[in-house]
Amino acid sequence: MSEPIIVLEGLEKRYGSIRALEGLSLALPPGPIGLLGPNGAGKSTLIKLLLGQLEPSGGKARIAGFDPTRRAERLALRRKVGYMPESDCLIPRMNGVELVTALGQLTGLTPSDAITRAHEVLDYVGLEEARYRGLDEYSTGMKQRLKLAQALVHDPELLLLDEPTNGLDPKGRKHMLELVHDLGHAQGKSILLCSHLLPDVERTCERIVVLDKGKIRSAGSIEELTRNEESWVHTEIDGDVAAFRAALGSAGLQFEPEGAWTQRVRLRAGDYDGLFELAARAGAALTELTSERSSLEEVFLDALEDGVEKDAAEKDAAETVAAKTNAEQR
Amino acid sequence: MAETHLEVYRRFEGTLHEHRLRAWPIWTTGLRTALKQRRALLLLYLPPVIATVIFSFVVYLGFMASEQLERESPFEGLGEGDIQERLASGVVMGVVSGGLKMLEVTRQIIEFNKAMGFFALLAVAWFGSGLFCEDRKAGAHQLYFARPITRLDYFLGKFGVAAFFGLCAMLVPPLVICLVASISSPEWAFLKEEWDVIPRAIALAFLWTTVVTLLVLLASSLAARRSFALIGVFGFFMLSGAMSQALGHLVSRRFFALSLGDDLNTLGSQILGRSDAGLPVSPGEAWVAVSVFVAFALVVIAARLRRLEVVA
Amino acid sequence: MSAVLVAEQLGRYYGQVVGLNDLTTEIAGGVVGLVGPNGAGKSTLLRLIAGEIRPSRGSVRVLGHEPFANRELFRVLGFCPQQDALYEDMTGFDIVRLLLRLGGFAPAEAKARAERALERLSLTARMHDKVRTYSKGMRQRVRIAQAIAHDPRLLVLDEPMTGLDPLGRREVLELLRELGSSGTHVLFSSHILYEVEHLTAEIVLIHRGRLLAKGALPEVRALLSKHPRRVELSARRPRELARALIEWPEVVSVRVQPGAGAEEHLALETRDVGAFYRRLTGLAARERFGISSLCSADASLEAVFDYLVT
Repeated sequence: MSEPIIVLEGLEKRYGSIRALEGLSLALPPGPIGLLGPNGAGKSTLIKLLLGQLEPSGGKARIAGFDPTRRAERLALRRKVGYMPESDCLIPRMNGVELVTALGQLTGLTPSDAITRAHEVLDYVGLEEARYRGLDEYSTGMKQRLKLAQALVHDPELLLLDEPTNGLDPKGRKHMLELVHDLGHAQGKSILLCSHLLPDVERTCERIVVLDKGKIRSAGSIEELTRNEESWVHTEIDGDVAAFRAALGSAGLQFEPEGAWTQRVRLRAGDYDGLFELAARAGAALTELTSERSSLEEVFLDALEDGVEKDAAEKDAAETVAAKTNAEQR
Repeated sequence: MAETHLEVYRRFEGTLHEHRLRAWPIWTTGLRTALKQRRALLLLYLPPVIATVIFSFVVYLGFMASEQLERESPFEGLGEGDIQERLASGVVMGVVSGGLKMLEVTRQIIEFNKAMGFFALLAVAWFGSGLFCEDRKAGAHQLYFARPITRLDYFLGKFGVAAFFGLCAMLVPPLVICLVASISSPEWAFLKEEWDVIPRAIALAFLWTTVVTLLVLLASSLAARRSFALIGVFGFFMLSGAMSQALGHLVSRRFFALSLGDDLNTLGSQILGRSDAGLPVSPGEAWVAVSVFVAFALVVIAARLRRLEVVA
Repeated sequence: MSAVLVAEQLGRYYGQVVGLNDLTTEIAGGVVGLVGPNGAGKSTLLRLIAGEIRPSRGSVRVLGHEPFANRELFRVLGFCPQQDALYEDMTGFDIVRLLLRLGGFAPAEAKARAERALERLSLTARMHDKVRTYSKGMRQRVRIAQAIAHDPRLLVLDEPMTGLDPLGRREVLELLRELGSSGTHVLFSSHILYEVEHLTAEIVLIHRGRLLAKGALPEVRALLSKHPRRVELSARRPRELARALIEWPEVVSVRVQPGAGAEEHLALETRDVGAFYRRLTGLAARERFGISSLCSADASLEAVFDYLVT
């Protein structure tokens, strides 16, 4: 496996008595990664720490091999990272090309490289004539594309994308997700994608990290996290449902009706063909057959719940210890 | 040989350079966007340009006239031609040249230089008042601080943008006039006798621009909107002036140093080598007051920029 | 039962700019999702229904009332606007209570209802804090709370899920579902099509101020017969299966698509989806191709949206 792009070792951030991040330890391989968590989970804090905008209160972080707490490395690191902020951001009195060019120059491109790259990335995100217009005339979709373009201008290894589909309509969202998918897969970029829309993450990322209350609740590949050990399939039938269900019963297959035409069936040893046989014999047609996987939403919610229970258990344990010491002192 | 280029995204094959002056790109791009405001440029710089042209002309005329006067006595050749006409031109030349002995030229250049300070303030206030607050409002800081720059670079770049406009108003006119005076004075007499006006004018321009720019940036870093920052800058001048007057007269003369305008005036006179007894603030007090102000402004701006990067 | 909403040649213009153009429709009720691209006129339509703006032409009747500036309607309609405009210095609880008081409820009743509504949106713990301290998601929930507090018969929500995190989205979806099943009519707009689909099959699709489609999603899809249906399947021996399928008259095209790793999927288009499924079931039973997944790729709202909005 290749070198991890992000390594955290006991990373902590406290604001006074509030603990925004509590000892995160993690090594993330290159590739597209979804960062999930409810509001206030510490995602923004983490991104700021990764960019070196905040100083950690403890622990270490290495991004693309650089330590963000040291000034020289922080600057080198920011050349390797492209950041697309969540909220609206533009530079007053500039048009699209100027903004991307200016930020490219700030990152170390020569003026002529910067203008070349600016047009390259603006073409890539599909911002056509609008690039010459003032930013105050931009629609939400254009602003989002411009934000992605400026994050890409210096061709970074790692992209930090904060809610890139925010405010987009279905077409705009689809386009943005295609871009993110392409960047993560065809262009080989590492991506840390924050999103509240779990299907967005499922469509574009290979791994997820679930953060809640400043702790990592779950991390791993989506493939593994959503895999279901039991082989249940979801089926839909056109035709005589009663006959099909009766055939399932007589074949000794366990099943649960769901809707009028749908049922979950427990398969034995991946015998899909048998299912088609039963349907054909019952004079029905199978119109849908999908393996049941737990959705990312379930994984996410389970991770949060487990976390809450674990916290409670830890708190209990701590209180028990405290009570014991109290008792001993008496 | 046939080729196709169907890649949708091309990687950047060059290298990213580290600028020795990381503030440089901020400065150049900032300047370029500021220069887009053509109408403001015209309005702000037309008066100084006109004043400079007129004043250069006056200086030129003055030297020409005194040269002519030295060459020919006004009463020579009297009787030849029209006496009245001769007299009239003699009077005009006398008036022009009367105030324009070499020292007088210098004095006027100094007065002119100080007057330019007002235009410099206007220009810096106009172009500098939005630098921080508009960035914050538009969210530009999120883009800047994801780039390899430090807060100091950001500050220096922005400072450079605002100071540029101040120097344009404060430095260029005196230099132009000194140039005109040098060329038109007989045998470079101006340059030989009064050369020290030039470094003094430059020093004053830098001091004045630095202080005024810091004040404007301070207002910009604190205000939520550009118009508030503008109000803040002029309000500060007026309020500090009024307070210094009141306290200076009622309590102690030392309080006159509270007025930033008077301090700069005193320093200007001192730098230009003219101790003016009429000024309310002594040079020592003025230096202390201005230094304290500069330090205060730097500390506050540093704190506000830290907030801009970290809290956002 | 009479329709909840009747619009006749309803139009609304902002100067020359069209917000909604000549919309004639009836919505029977239930939970209905309003979808369309940005600038399609969704917000205009919802604001017309809520009586916030007056139609430029045509008419709209909501639960039998003319909505514009109609106090009667406010008793039976709850509206959650998209704009994030709340009184910053009031607490969430005070806002909801104030709006209830303005709606004519007695003080004690208003207090009880405000508490209940905020509890349904899990805001109880923070309801006495000032709105300015709230996160985006909490502000959104205050807006929803004020819309449901008086138990309206029709609830109109403009982008109710915006700014909410996954937990918040789930809660609001559940709430809308609950309200729908208890008989409240719900009309809501959203850009997140799978969430709309998750909640209801009844949709209204508008684009450029015009009505493009209305009704239950499968029926809308069935009307779009000129687009062949797409079916995706994976099998143990995909290429062999493809050879067999391409012979069938109901199959228009078959494509082999790369899947994860060395795996391959088939994507095919068919003119007669019913006949295709019957024939496929027979074939799969006989020839044992090992078809391990089979699904229609374009019955989804997203596919319908793509077909209609060009």
